[in-house]
Amino acid sequence: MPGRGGRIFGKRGINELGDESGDINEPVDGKSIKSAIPLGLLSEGEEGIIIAHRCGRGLRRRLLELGFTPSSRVRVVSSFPGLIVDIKGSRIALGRGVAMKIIVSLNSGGGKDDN
Amino acid sequence: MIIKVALIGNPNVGKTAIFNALTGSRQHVGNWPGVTVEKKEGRCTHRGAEMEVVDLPGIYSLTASSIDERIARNYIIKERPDVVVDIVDASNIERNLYLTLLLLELEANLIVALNMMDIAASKGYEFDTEKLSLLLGVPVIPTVATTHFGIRELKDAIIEAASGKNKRRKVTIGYGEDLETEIRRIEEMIMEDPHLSGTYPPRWLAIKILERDEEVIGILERYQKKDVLEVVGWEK
Repeated sequence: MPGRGGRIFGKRGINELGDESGDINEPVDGKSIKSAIPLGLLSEGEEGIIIAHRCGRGLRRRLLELGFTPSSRVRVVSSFPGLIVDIKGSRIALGRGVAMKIIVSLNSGGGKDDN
Repeated sequence: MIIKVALIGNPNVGKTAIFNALTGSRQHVGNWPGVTVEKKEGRCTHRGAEMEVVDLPGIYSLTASSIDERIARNYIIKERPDVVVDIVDASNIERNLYLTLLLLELEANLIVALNMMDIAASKGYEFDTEKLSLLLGVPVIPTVATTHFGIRELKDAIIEAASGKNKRRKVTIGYGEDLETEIRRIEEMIMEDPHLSGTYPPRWLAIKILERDEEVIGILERYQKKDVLEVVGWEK
């Protein structure tokens, strides 16, 4: 199996957020990369657009099933102790560890608004 | 004959509300997800046909990784309900249709209940239910469970689906040439075992094997289909 995403910003730098095994990790557009941060660092009320998952296939698959698909808009409803996020009209609870593996762009606009 | 009906859908789409509307029971309906932790059963009679309705837990997918998903999936595979009603939140359709596609792949005798039509309408959504039905290859019934809108039509559709008279095209979700070659190869190997291919849909088994679904790999081990397991590089 190709390498699993390890550190959030690997040594190859911020321009290669995707891991080698999947094309879904391709950044959505060049501009958004500048403000790419882990979902786990957003505060309450902040929104981001999903651009990458930094994790292995098992977790990525689960995240996709739950609606964390690339280009989706995600909003942090509550951020302590774990996260509650709103995505595609559902509220999903995430542990901080998992939330740190979802990379979002803070750029407003450009994402699919599902609400 | 009693028609066995299973209700399935994402959390918080109104499965229990549809269940109550169908059976006239007063199961507690909560406005938060996860109300249905185990299956509930009820009965009703419509146009002389008796139905046994089972309300399954709310789930986002059909992987074998969590208990609620396993309960729902095993019920559909093992109990083989005559009709599966997939309840879709019309105001949140993109998320909901993922489960619908998984149910189509499982080759369940499916009806889609497009629920919460009132909320969808208040958001300005309009639906071409005929087109959706054509695309999915299954009946699509608009409903508002809380006001019983569409419930009679849903019951009619259940009886029609159970009679097996529905002549609909079977919709297959394609995965592109590379994967289709592999799927076909595994499917053919599965077809060599009439009991296995008679018990589970062969294409579904092939796809799940490629996904390395633990339960399906377990099935293949029980049937001693070593050749199939070798194809996906599965070793004990």
